[in-house]
Amino acid sequence: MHTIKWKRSQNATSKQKKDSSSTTITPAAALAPTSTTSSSSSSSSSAPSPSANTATATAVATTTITGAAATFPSNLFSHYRSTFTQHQQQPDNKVVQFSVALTIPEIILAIAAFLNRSTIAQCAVVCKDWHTIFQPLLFRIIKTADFDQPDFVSSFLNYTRFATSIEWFQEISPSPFASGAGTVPKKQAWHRIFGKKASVRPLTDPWKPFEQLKLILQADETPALETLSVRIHNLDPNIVLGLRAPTVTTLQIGTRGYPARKPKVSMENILRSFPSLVHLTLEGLFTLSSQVADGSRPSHAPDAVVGGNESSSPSSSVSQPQQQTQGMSTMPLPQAPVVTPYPPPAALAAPAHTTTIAGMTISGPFPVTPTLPIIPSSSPSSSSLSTNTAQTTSSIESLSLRLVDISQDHLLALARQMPRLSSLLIEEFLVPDMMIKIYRWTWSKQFIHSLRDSIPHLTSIRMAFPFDTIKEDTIIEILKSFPLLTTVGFRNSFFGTRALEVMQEHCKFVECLDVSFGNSRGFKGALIQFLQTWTRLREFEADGVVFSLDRPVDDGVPRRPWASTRLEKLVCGFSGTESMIFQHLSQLPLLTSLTISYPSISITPIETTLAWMAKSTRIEYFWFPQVRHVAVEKSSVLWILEHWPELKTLHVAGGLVSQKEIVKQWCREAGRPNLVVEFDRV
Amino acid sequence: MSAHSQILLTSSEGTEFIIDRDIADKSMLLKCMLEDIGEIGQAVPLPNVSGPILTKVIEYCTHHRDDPNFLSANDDVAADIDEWDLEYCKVDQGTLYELILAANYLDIKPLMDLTCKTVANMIKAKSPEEIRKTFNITNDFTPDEEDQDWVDEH
Repeated sequence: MHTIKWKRSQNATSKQKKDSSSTTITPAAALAPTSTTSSSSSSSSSAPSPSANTATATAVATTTITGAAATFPSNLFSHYRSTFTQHQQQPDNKVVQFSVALTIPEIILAIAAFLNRSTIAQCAVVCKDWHTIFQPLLFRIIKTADFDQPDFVSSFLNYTRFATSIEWFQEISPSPFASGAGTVPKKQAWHRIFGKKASVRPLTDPWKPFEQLKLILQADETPALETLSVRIHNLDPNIVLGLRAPTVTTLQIGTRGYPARKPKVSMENILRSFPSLVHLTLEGLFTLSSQVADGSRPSHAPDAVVGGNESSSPSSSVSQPQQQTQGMSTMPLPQAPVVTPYPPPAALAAPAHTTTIAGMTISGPFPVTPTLPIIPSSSPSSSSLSTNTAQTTSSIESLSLRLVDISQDHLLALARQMPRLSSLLIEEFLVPDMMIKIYRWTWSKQFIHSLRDSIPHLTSIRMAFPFDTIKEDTIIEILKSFPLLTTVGFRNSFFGTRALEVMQEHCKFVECLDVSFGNSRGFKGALIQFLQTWTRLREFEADGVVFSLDRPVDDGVPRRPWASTRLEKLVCGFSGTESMIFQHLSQLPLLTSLTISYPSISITPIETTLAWMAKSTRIEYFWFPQVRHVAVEKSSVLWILEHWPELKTLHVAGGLVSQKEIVKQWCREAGRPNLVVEFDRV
Repeated sequence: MSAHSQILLTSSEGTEFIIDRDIADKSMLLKCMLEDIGEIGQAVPLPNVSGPILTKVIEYCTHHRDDPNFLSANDDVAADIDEWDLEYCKVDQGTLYELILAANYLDIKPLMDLTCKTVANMIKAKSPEEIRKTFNITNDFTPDEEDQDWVDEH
C-alpha cells in the first residue's frame, strides 16, 4: 500500500554498481558527488550542483563550528569510502564526525537525557571537547548531597545557568555537638522524614547555612531553573521567598522544628517571588494565608490560625443555603438541610463569613497582572474589597499542604486566585510519627460549593485528617461537586459504601483511589465489587483493608477476578496463603508499586510465591511484612533482582534488622548497588 | 484502502521519493510544510538529508505508520526498544549519526529518541577509556588536568 519510488534524476550516469534499492548504501557516498570514483549507487554524479553540496555540508554540520564544515565532506567521504571497501575505519575521521555531532546542543541534550549522572561524569573526562560538552550537564539536576562535596559550590558557580533543578536540605547535624538543634529526632525517623536514602554519612557536616543557597542563586542567573526544593530547620520559611529564582515553576518549601510562634507565609508574597509557579508544596508547622482574605477581615489581627473561626463576623443565617451559590453552579442545590458535622453551631460562623467573601466573587477569571500588589492587611471593611481590583490570578495548578495551617476563609480566597488549580492535597501528617491536629474546619455545603465555583477544574483531591475524620456526607458532597476528579483520596475518613456509589455515579474518570485507614464498616463488599468492575483504576490504596482470597465469598460478594488489571500501584492486605496472594497479584502485570500491608509473609520458596510474578517486570517498589524471626533467603532476593530489573526500593517490614546489611551486600554483588533496602520493625 | 495523497520529496543529491501523505506526516517539519503549501504536487526539497538516509527514515516511518503511540513522549529509558527498532539501529556509527541529524531536522521525535537512546546505550556504564575506544577518541588531557576535574562518584 505504501509506495516508495525512486526516480532517478535525468542526469544520472550509469555508473551504479549496486542496486539503488539496496539499503547498505553509505550516506557519504551520496554526499560527495564530485569525486569521479564515485562508487555510490544512487545517482549523484553530475546532477547536484556544487552549491547543493556545500549546502548539505554546511547544513549537516549545522550551527556551531563553521570551520569544520568546510572540511567536513571530504573527511566524511574518505571515511565512507573506507567503510564501503570494508576497510578499517580511520580513527581521525571518526573523531571529527562524532564530535561534530556532539557540538549540536540539541543532540547532546537529547542523548544526555538518557544518561544518568555518573555516566555523564565519565563522559566529561573522555577528552577536552567532551569535557566542554558534558561538564555543564552535570549541573542540571542538583541534589542536596552534592552540596556536601567540598568543591561543589565553587564549581557550581560557573554553571548555574545550566541548573534545572536544585534541592537543598538543611539537616540537623547528626553529630552530638549539633548547634541549636533542639530536639534531635532519631536517625531512623530522620531517614523516613526526608527520604534520605544515603546510607553513608557525608564527610562534612550536613548542616548548611542558608547563605550558601542564597549565594548560589544570586551569584549568577539561573535562567533554566525550574524546580527548587528547600528544607530548612527552625527558620522562618519566609526566607525562602528572598531567593532570586523567578523562573521556578515547581517549588517545595519544608520546615522542621516546632517554633514557639508559628511563622506565617502569605500566598501573595510567594507569588511575588515566584511568579511562574505551577506546582507548590508546603510542609511544616507554619501558616499559609491570603492577604486578600486578611484585608477583608473586620477583626484586627490578621489571624490566619483557624481558631479565628469564631471571630466577630456576623453570621448571616446558614439556613439560607441558596444564596451562597454563585452563577457558575450548574447543579441545583439540594433542598436538604445544610450538612452540619459535629462542631457546635457557633463554629458555623465560618461558613457565614465565607458568604461575605463569596459575595464578592465575580464569575469568570480575573485578568492576570504581572506583579501582585500587596494588599495592606489594615483594610477596614469588606466593602472596600469589593471594589478592589487588585485580586489577581496565578497559574498554580497543584497545591500540596502538609501540616501547614490554613483557615477555610483563606483557602477560599486562595482558590479564587488559582482558577487553574487541578490538584489539591491537604494532609494533617508529614510522616507516620508526626501527626498533629491542625485543621479545625467545618465542612459545610457552602464551603464546598464555593470551592467548586472557584476551582471547577479540580481533578485531584487528597485529604487526610486523622484527627478530624471527614464524614461521609461531606465526601459525598465533594464528589458531587467535582465530576472531573481522576484522583480521590480520603484517608482516615468515613469513606464508605454510599460515597463509593456516588463516586462511581458522578466521577466517571476516577483512576486513583485512596481509602486507607478508613473507619467505615461493611465497606469491604462495596470495594470488592468496585474492583471487579472498574477498569480505569491505576492506583488503589486501601491500607487496613484485608481481602480474603481463601474464601469463595468475601463480605457478601462472591470472589471474581478483579477488573482493575491496569493497576500500577496497590496497597492493601490479604488473607490467604502466599501462593494465593501472589497468584492473585499476577493478574496485575502493570504493577510498579506494590505494598502488601497484611499479613506477614515469607517469600520462600520461590516456586509457590514470587514465581507467580515473573511477568511483573515493571515493579519499582515492593513493601511487605516479613514473617517474624525468619531470615529472608538469598535465593529469593536474587530472584527479585533478576526478574524485576526496575526495582528501586525493597522494604521489608518487621524483618531481622540485622539482615539489612547482608541483603544490601547481595544487591551490590548482583550489580545493583543503588537499590534501596529498608528493614524496620513493624 | 482510501487513496492517500502522495508527496514528492527530493533528497540532497536530487533523488526523488514519492511517499504517502500519512507517512510524511510523521515528520512534524513536513507536516507543517505541507499544511502551508498544500497539495501543489511540487517536490519538497530536503537538502539536509541524503538519499540513503532518507530511505532509512522513510522505512522507519512506514513501519510505524499505524502505530497509535507514535507521538507520545517516550522518555522512559527503561522502556524496551522493540525488536524491529533494535534491528533497525544496527548500522554503523556514521549512519546512526546521520539518522540522528535527519530525525532532528525532520522533527520526528520517536526516531530521534530511538537513535539517541541507541547512542546513549553505547555510552552507558562505560569507563572513560572504554568510551574512548568505542568512539576512537584520543585522550588529550594531561595527567594533571585529569586529577583536577571534579567528578561525581555516585
